[in-house]
Amino acid sequence: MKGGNFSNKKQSGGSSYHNSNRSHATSQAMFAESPETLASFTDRQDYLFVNSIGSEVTATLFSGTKFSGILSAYNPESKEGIEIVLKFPKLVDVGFSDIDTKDSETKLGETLLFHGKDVAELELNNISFSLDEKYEQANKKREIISQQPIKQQNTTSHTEQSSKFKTDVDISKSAPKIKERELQKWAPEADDSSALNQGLDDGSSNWDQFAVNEKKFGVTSSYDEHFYTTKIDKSHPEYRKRLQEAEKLAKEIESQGSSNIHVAEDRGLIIDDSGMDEEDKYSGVDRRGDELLAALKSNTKPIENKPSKYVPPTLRHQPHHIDPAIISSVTEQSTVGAPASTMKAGPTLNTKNIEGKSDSTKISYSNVVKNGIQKTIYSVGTSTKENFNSKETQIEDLKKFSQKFKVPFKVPEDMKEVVKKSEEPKDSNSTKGSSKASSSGKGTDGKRPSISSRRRHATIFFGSQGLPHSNNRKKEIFNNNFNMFESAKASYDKNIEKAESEMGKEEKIMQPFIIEKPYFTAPTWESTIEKSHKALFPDERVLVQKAQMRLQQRQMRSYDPNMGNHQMQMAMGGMIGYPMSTAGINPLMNGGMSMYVPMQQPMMYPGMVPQMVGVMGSSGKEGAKGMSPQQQYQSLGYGGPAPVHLGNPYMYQGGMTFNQGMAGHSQPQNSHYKPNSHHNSNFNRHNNNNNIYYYNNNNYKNNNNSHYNNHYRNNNANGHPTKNQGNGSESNKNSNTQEPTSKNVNE
Amino acid sequence: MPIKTLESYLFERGLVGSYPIDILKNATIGIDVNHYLSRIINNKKNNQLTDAIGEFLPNNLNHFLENDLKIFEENKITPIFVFNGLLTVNQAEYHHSNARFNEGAVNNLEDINTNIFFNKFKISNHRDKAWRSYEYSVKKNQETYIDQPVVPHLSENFNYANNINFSTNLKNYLIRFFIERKISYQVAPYSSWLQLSYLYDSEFIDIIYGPTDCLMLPNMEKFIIGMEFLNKEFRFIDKTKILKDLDLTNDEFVDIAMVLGNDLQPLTLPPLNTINLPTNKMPNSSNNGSNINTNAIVDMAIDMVYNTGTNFYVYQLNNLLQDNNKKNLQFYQRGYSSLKNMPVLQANGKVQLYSSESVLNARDLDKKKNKSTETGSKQITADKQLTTQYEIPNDVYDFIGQQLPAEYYFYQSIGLLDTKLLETLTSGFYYEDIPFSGVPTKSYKQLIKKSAEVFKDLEIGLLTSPINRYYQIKTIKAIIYNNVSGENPDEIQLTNKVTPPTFDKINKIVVKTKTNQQFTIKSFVKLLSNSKDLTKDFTSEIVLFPNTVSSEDKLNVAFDLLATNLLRTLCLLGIFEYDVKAKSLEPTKWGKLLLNFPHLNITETNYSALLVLMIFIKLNVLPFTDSLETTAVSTLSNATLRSYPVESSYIDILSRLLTLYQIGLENSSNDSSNNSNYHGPIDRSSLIVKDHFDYINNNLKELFQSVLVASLASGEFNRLSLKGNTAWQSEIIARLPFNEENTNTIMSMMWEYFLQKYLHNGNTKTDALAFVSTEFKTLKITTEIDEKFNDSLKFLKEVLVLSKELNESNLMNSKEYEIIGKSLEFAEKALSS
Repeated sequence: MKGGNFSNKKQSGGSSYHNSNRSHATSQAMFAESPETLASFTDRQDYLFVNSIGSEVTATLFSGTKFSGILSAYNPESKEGIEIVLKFPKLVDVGFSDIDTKDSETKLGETLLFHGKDVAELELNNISFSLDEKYEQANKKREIISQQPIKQQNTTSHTEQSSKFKTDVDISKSAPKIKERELQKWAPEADDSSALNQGLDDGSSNWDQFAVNEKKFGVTSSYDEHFYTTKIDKSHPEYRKRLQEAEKLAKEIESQGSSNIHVAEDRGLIIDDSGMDEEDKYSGVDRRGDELLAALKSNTKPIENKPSKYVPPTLRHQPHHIDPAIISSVTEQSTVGAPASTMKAGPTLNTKNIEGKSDSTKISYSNVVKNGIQKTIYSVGTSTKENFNSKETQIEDLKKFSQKFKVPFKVPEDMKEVVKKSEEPKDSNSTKGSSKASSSGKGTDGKRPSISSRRRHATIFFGSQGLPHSNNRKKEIFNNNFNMFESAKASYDKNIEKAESEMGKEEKIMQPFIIEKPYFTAPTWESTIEKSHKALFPDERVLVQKAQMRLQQRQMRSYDPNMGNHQMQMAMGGMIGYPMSTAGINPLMNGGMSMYVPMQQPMMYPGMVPQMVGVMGSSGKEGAKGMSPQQQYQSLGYGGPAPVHLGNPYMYQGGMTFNQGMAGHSQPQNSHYKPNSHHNSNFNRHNNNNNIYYYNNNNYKNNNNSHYNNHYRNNNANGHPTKNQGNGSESNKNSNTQEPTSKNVNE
Repeated sequence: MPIKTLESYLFERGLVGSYPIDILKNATIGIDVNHYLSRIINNKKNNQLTDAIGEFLPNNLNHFLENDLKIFEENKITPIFVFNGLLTVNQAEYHHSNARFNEGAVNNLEDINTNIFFNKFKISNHRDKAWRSYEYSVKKNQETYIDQPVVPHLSENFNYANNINFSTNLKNYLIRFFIERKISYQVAPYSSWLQLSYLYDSEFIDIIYGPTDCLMLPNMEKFIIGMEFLNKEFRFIDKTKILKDLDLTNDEFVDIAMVLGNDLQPLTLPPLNTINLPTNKMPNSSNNGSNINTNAIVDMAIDMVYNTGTNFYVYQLNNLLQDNNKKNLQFYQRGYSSLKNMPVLQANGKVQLYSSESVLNARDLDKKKNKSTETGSKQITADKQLTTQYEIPNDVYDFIGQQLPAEYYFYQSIGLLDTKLLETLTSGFYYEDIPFSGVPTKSYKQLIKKSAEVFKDLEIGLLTSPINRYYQIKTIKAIIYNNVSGENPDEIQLTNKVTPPTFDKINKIVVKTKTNQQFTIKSFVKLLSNSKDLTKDFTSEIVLFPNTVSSEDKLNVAFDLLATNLLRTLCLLGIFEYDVKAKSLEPTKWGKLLLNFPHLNITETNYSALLVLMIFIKLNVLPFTDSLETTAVSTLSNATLRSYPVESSYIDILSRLLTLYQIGLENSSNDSSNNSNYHGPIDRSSLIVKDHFDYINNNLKELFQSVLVASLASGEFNRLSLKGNTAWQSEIIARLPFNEENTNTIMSMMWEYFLQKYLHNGNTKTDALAFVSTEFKTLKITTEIDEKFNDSLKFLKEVLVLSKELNESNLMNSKEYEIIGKSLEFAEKALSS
């Protein structure tokens, strides 16, 4: 093996490295080795070849003739030499043979087989080793280690051993350095942003696995839902009664409260979930009450604010910051002081950032860290006027995250007081001191989290710069202002001073002090333009245009599945925005992202939009009964084109036509559409009753993040809460589950 | 008024965040008083009867205020309270006009989303209805009722939708309260929340505690919407979050707010006004029901924007064919324009138009500049001037109102000049308030008519003469309503220009003591009565206002300023007489009586009440011998009236006089158990008399203010002698006479029922007293009820002394004096039995 320079040129694909100029002398080396060792060599060779299939190789025959071509096959079982097949061979060098170059080119054909015995040398170019992240990680680590003092020792021992037997570890150690890639912030491309955040069950198309299977592979499915669920006999004489009973039971269950917020949400209960994050809601273990229990156990000494969340072991000795930015920054700092740590990237980034050198191609990871540090700096109060406007969005994200974070249970009143008392002496210190201490990460004082959390909240609430200080003199300033006489005096004094300095002190200034007489004020206000306020309104057409543009934007966005799946967005956002550990990029992240993309893509059908427009517009007319503003726009003829209902696929009025529009995806209606038609009838009823403009009122709601919201808004908007209660929850059920029973119920 | 129905909508959708109050540590909070009060009042639905006993203070207001301030103090939070000032054109039209405004069913929304300013006819209608229903139940019980008063049913609410009558009185009361506790406050020239926005922009405050209207401001990222002092939490609104969640741009949001109705545009405009919401007839039914109703309207507005890209302004423009819609468009335009051009009181004391948008733009520009240059040191916040150029149309008076001198706005901002007087100047109308008792009675209307000459002409003359000539020529009318619906009001044209000007007639009356003593009416009267020669002591050869007069010769202390102007006021009222030519200052018969007060040993607290009584007797619109029976059902039972006709008339006289007596809220508010929600008997006839007294007191106050402002504006007072607004507040505002009246009809009712019981119960005092203490038990003053009776009797005796003097000076009908004397005799007998 020679060469092996890993260049970390990044390819568009993102995760593969190319190994350039890597040639292998493929000789049946005469090693005096045991068969096992030989076998392992063979394995490696096999691996090499398998990976090099498809790449260009140059084969030199014993005759000296060189052929180049694309390696298309390789016989791993050949006993003598290397048997390969080249595609599109080319003669490179005639060598000692007497082949006619011109002749051979025409004769060579598409494929060329080489016998093992003929091949003398094989040069493999541009082999693509699809290295996985682990491998890369290992390389990185090793690289770091190699720059540490240990490196010396390692290399010497390595050289000593080099002549001897090499174990895997040795080999990999001796492998060339792997340079760290220069990471770039991932940014969605304008056109494909939607696909990434798509969830599993919110695709806009009707994916029918059976249909596709049949079409592609001719497999007819014997699937019958009744294999898996009880068949409902609708013809049964007591069917109605049973149905009602089932519904009643369902309602009963649903109306029961639940302490589990997730269950409660499913049941459409209104819960205050502010301050809970996804983990608390859907996956975390409910730890409410732990504190109380602990307090009971050691009732003499109340437990301080323990973090209620699971803390990874690596972070347990850290001060318990909750804000990921602070966590990362603190971890960084602690690594500076700990030479045993193997992180190297951290410190360099750190110092660089504190110095405030802005690097345009800074990787996103470092940005986050930087912000974290800056944030701590700001909260400490030594507000240097560093410009970090460009990071504002990220800070905003961080703020949001920490806003959401809240101890998810109520601390009893008496506990609060105890905590407060223990806080107080600390508080009397200057704020600077306390928050500095908490951010420096020294010590593991359990009391600190509460202080820093309060400060942090305050920072979040007021922004890093607007934080009120204890020497707040605002009241004084306020009381000394807003007095026209004093400001007149002040400006008079200033004038006198100015005049004195200009004219010299000898001359007495004869400037009377006058407070402006009230009769100078005209009853009209000073204006800057000679126009009526009515003329300052934007033109009607401009306004309509603007509104229509916004409408279209909004409806385009309603395609965006991430509107439909808030959770997914959150989860992803969380991963991208806040690396929770310093261990570099979470390998899951890349994997996760690339996993979503291919799955979501088939669900986007931007091409269908125009087909929908007409149909839906007309359906709108039917529903609106002349009351909709849209109607008025049209009849008054100023609105330009009728508002376009690119709407979302759930929009009930367009439900049917939408399916038609999806030619080529002929699927049975899936249950998503059922609730819509259901609503439709509802909605019509309202129109008749109240003459309210209501059509399409579900458009927004179905996009609206959570099922709970959906439910709630439907009820509200219809204005007949009691009447529609059942309908609302039914539709909720339907859109969430594809359970056959509910489907039937709906029919 | 916040954006209609939006608040509950935001709460329902969980768009309101909450934090513990201690986050606000060290912060300075700008509090919109309207919003703050509406939250206190709405949370405590127990003020049904405050209007029925003629009290402008909601129950427990003191208590809540004290508690809240304590929590602020604990958390080192500095509150700055900002009051609302003048009404914009939209607001005034909505508030004063009796038009129904095509609002349809949306009126119901207001019941739910209560706030301070209302179409005042809704309030008076409501009061009148409540009274009528109460009187009906009294009549029904008349046969069986002997001495047990008919207490209004618990569901009867005299306050319209729990609206507190945000009167000038309440404002003045709060201002005194704040001064006493050294809390900063300010009266905005116009809209309080926009003034707060300015204060926020100029970094006088860290955060706003205000109404949902603040969401319309582009500069407002976060503001506090509510404080839960019990939980030590506060609720805030994050604008970015809300707009993101609702998927609206700022412009779209403002557009929606303008049709929903908000502070600057109080109507709900079409198409939203046509919604026939299921009405919630039962006010006590669950809140959830009402919230669903109210949220529907916001939902609908948003849905229209989502689904059809509705721009509501365009909607108004295109619906001009229908009736009333031109008005709607006008309202929209004015509201929108007021948002963009709102006069605010700036740090330099000037009132200038302000647009938060332009400030935001300017700031962006600033940032860019700062980016290119090096990061210079920041200016000190107080010096920061937000002078930004932006497009100000030339017809701001069309939606805001006409401009007044900065000096007038300044006096308003510290609470020296009532907003109502300034409003009269800008709008050209002095709108008479509708009395607590509902329909104005004949005598009340007569009083109003008389007051036009006695008070209003003088006020207008004094206030317009120092300012632009336009105001001196402008016609200003007093509007007197004849009924609760405000239809066919009487108009009286006021005279703003008299020759010689009113001010010239009085400006040589000067009180110069140069003492530091605090001003009270008593000290003032004492000073005068000690003088042997009024002319010599209290007139000046020269006028004080020209600049040629050195500042030492001007008025330099607060006492002199107030005394000078009170003397002038009394001259204008004919209690003293100043002859300009002869340059002589003499007391009239009334004046002699007033000067005699110290010799009559009048209690200090009763000075102003007796002065009011004197003016009342002087105006002679409702002699004590006249019966009120025609206008109100008597509280006394038929049995009493039939068996004891003479005593009944005594009781009537006593109850009338006692409406001047201040029972004082302090007794109830100091009680830490705080639940002093009044629920007991009510009496309309006493209330009618009290309305008369209130009216006179109010006019005295306004006249005094006008005289004071005229004096200040002309430059008679060395306005720099007071350092900072705090000095103005503590030395002048806190000392203003006629400013502290807080009476109700409770004491007069207590006497009524006491005497009635006394009559029927064989003339025993103890039983009657016990009876009264049970009837008025919700008042929590029962422990000292004896003391109250004795104290009020003392007041009555002083009244008697006064009437004796009046009678001797032929200023009071001897019949009146006689009946007052006999009534008092009766009362004394009953109480000493």
